Amino acid sequence: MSFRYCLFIALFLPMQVFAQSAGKITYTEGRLRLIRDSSLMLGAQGVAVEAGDIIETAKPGFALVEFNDGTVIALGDATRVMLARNVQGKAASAPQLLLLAGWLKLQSHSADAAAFGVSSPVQSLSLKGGSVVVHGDAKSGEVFVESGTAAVGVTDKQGRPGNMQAVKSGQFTTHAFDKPAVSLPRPSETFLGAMPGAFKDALPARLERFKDRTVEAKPTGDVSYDDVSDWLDAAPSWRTGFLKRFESRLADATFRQQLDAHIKTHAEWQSVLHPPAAKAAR
Amino acid sequence: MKLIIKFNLALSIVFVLGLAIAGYVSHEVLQRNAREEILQNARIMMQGALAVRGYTSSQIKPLLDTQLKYEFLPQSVSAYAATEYFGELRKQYPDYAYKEATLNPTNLRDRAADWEADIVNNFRQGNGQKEIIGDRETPSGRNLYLARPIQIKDARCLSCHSTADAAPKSMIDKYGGANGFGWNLQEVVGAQIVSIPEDVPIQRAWNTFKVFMGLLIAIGAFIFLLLNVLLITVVVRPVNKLAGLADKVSLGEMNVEEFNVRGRDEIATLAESFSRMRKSLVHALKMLES
Repeated sequence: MSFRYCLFIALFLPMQVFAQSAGKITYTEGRLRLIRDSSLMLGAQGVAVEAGDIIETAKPGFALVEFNDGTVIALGDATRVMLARNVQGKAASAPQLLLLAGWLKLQSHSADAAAFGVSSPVQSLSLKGGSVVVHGDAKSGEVFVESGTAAVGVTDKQGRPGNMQAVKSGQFTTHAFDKPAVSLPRPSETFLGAMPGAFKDALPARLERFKDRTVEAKPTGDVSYDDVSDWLDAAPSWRTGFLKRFESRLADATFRQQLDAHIKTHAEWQSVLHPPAAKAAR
Repeated sequence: MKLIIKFNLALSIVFVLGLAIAGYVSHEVLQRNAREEILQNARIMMQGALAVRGYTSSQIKPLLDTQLKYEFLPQSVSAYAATEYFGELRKQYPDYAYKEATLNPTNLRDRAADWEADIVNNFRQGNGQKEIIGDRETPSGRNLYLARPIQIKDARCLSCHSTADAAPKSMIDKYGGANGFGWNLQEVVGAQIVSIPEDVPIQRAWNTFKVFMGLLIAIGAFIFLLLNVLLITVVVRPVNKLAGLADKVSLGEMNVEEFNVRGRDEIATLAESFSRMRKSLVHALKMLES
């Protein structure tokens, strides 16, 4: 069985999980950017989301995405998140949200809801039933468990979650890069001050309004290197599938040139940009 | 003594006596009514405060439950809502004061003073008393108060008042974990107390009394005057005139003018009788002379 076939299966199966949990953007404030495959689109209320979609809010900005199982996620200002397959590459289990930067609230109260995993560059968590508020960037991660019990751990250099510990409702954990996690009984004042105000309320369920209609996302062009450079430089397991996803952009000389200039941070492109010379015919 | 003086004397005695009795009775009734009106207003205000409490715990607090995980919002507290409601009401009715005096409150501002604690303990004795009305001396004067028990009838109240562990952490951050816990369902934990200076009903009653008595005196004076005018015009003057005519006839002036008789009242009857008597006298004298 070839590697590509296995990769296809590994990609396909978990995507079925997300396809089952497919949802829609149910609310937006400010400009919402959607990156689907290698295309830039404008996100709007009623647009369906798919596995692999990158959703980015502006500053100021706010968006709600609701899945068919009743799970709702809210994105705060300047937040960048990808709806990815399970990055552990295992058989379909938990859908995964990859939070590159920003604020995310995950609310899941339905008994039928799937477990959701959220990974930021520093911290990872898994939640089935309950709500959490997550803040993450390249240097730190913070999680406040509003309700339910979450498993919270670190994100390793490969982008995989590990060392998960149970964190109960009302508890707060903060984790700076390369330092141990700190658990506190209450969120810090800094966290509370920076958190989007709308996160302090329960997220509304609005999917019903879009049950019978889907809005087509408006394409605005192909992604440039700057649009996706931070994703291209993310943890290796987060970049799974990017070769295939952005291969078509190599036709753009600027994109190719910039990709090549930063090859050290995404070495997997080396073989694509500079394929080894073909072996001499035997 | 002249008839008019006798008449006025009698009328004055009756009038003063009547005024005194009316004054006394009306004063008592007005005082009682003013006090009852004040108390009824207080009951309505208290019922409004209870309605605000119920609305807050059933409709507002559930909406703020998530926010309470982050910061304590007093707007989610029934007692706060009731106090704020009354604060607004006081802008129109500044004489009324309201307190939810509690034996073991979360906010120590609501702790019952000694006299309030006595009232609350009275309610806690379980004799089914629904309200207590009383007076008490204060540095600014005598106060009338109306008190009703605050009884925990809604289990939702216990989400913040059962144990510190069950209460929102943001509430513990703000008020600590020592006060306002250990409440039980159906327990009387405090009392709604509306106070008002007793001067207020007394003044209200006095103002109404002054108006009433003033009106009574004015009406009395008018009747007094009217009766005097009637007495003079209908009785005294005609009688004086008849007396004058009788004097003249008695002195031999048989040709005095006739007394004009109007109407059919007693004076007219007297005048007719006098006229007949004069005619008979003239006739009798003529018969004697012939």
